[in-house]
Amino acid sequence: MTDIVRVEGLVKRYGQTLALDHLDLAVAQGEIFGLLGPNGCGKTTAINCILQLLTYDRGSIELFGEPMAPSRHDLKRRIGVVPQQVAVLDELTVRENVDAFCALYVPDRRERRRLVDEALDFVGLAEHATKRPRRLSGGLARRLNIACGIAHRPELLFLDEPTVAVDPQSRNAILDGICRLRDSGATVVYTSHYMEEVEQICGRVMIMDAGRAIAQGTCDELKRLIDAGEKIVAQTGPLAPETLARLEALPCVRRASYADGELRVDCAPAAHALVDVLEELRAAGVSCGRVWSEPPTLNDVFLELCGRELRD
Amino acid sequence: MKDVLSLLRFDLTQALRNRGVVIWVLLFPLLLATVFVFMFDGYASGEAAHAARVGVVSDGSAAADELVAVLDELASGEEAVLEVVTYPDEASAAEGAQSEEVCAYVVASADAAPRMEVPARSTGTVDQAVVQLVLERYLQVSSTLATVAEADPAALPSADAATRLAEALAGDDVESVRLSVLRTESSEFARYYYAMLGFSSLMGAQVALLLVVTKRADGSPEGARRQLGAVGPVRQLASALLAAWVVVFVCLVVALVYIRVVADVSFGGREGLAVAACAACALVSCAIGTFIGSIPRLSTSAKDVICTIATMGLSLPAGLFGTPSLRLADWLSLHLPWAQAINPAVQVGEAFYRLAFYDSLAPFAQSVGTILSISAVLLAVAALFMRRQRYAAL
Repeated sequence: MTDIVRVEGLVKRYGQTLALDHLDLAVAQGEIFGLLGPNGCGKTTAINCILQLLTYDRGSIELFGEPMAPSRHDLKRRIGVVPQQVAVLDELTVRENVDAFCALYVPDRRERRRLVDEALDFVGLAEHATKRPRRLSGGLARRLNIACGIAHRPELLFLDEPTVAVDPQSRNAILDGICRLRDSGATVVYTSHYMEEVEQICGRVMIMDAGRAIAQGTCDELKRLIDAGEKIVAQTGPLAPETLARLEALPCVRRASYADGELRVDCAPAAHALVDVLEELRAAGVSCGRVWSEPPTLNDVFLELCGRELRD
Repeated sequence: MKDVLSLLRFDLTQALRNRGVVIWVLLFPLLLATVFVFMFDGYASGEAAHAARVGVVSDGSAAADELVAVLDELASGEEAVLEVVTYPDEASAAEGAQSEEVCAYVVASADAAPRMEVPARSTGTVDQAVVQLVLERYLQVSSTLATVAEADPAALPSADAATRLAEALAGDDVESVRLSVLRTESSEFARYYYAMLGFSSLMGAQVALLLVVTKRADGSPEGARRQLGAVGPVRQLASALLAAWVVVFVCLVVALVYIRVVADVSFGGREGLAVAACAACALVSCAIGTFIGSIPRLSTSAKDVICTIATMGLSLPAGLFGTPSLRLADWLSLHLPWAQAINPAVQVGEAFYRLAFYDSLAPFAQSVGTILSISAVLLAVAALFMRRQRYAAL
């Protein structure tokens, strides 16, 4: 499949600080590519370099198979950006905002009218078209932010944490919209701190830290990178310490703990961990209420790779 | 060009819907002009002539009657300068003066020269000055007539003497012509209105500042987003500057028409050139806004503050803020002429002043040329700032 974004050996310094350290990135046509990483890891810097908002020290950037440069307005015409911060003009109405940003790509007014109508329908803002942005709720403002980035029908769309501070309904609508954009042929680069979102919509994911790509692949591939199995949770009556010790002695169990009537067992990757744990409990005469198993998540992968300590 | 025009509509809408622009660039100059109209109208009505009310005490002698006849003559007619109140004696006249029934009283007798008395608690009023002037002139003319009578008694038939003396005092036979070296009659108040136009031009810098900041990647999130568009930064800035110029130009023309029609401020019959001057003023306004908007590493709010301080600071030596400000302007013109020459607010005021009052258009052209030069320098520096910032850092 053709790479729509290809970045090789990208280096960006801010004085002595190395913001991007030989970053390589490839995004295939028609995929939703997730960019994950802790705060300050270089996600936004990478996007700004790709979009030529920032200069960079070394490396090459190709979009649509062609070298990207600040003056490549022909390439910029094919790109849409939804920034992290709601970046709209307070003096213009919802419709005028979408129209104004669309005018940066589509000079023809008649064509723009159709595109603006479609964008407003797409994000569900048609009934708010005459309102000023400051009269919109947080979720609606986020949707306006998205409409301004997609109205000109970009082939490549950068979404930088578009669901920050929105309610679950709006978030769901936004994620659905992004999937529809992908289905209509757009390529999406998506950054977020919400792992479940990334897991839900992204085909491939890159995890960045300290300006470098530390892991890349599909969600399943990433989960296989870490040595983590399922987590088994069982609601039980009081548990004797020797029962816990026998559970921890099982080959498939890494750690077991009991608190407030709930037994939690962290397992190593194994085929029959749940069966082994339940048999041990039955042998000890422990009756269970609810029992469930949680497979490893992208969040586990992220914390495993980037560490659990707090960052700035 | 098509893409610039398609952006222009949004820039104009953005500027015209901005509350700060509407209040400070469009409405505030009109409000200030209205304040000036009422303030200066108060001055004018305060200076309107009215008859001075004066008391007269006469001993009934011929000499006293002659003076009373003169005063009565000055108190008659539509343009009377005096209103005479006759008292039987000096005590009642003094009482009338103390109670401010009259501003002063004149004692006329055969024994002594006429004398004017004023109440102790109210001296030096305009009315008293009028009475004093009349009395001094009467004494002067009487002295002249006495000299003439002594030299040629036949020249002064006594029957007409008083009448002719009154006519002489009234000045009917004296024609005074007011000469002006200026093209049209000067008004000390016009200078305030011209300074106000200078102030308005600088206030207009807010428009360009607003539009430039929202076009620059390092100015605002909206600016960063716009810079990602397929229209280049130069074209986007061209649209912003054109929109700012149109808005400021229209606001200045509105202010110009307002002070011409409502305040009756003269532009020497050169209203067309005054509108052309507004075009130059709008340009310097855009240049100032663009320059401030392009200053690197400053937040938008800091740029707003700089714009406001610059507007007030540069308007001060333009003479907008009353007599002390006018004195400062005159002092600077005398001692630091270069400081006035590079001050756009001063140059805008000067341009309109020279247009209205000078026969030659050369001084006006010089002011407009200075305004255009200041604009060019500021735009050049702004371009330099912007070029250095481009894609370097956010």
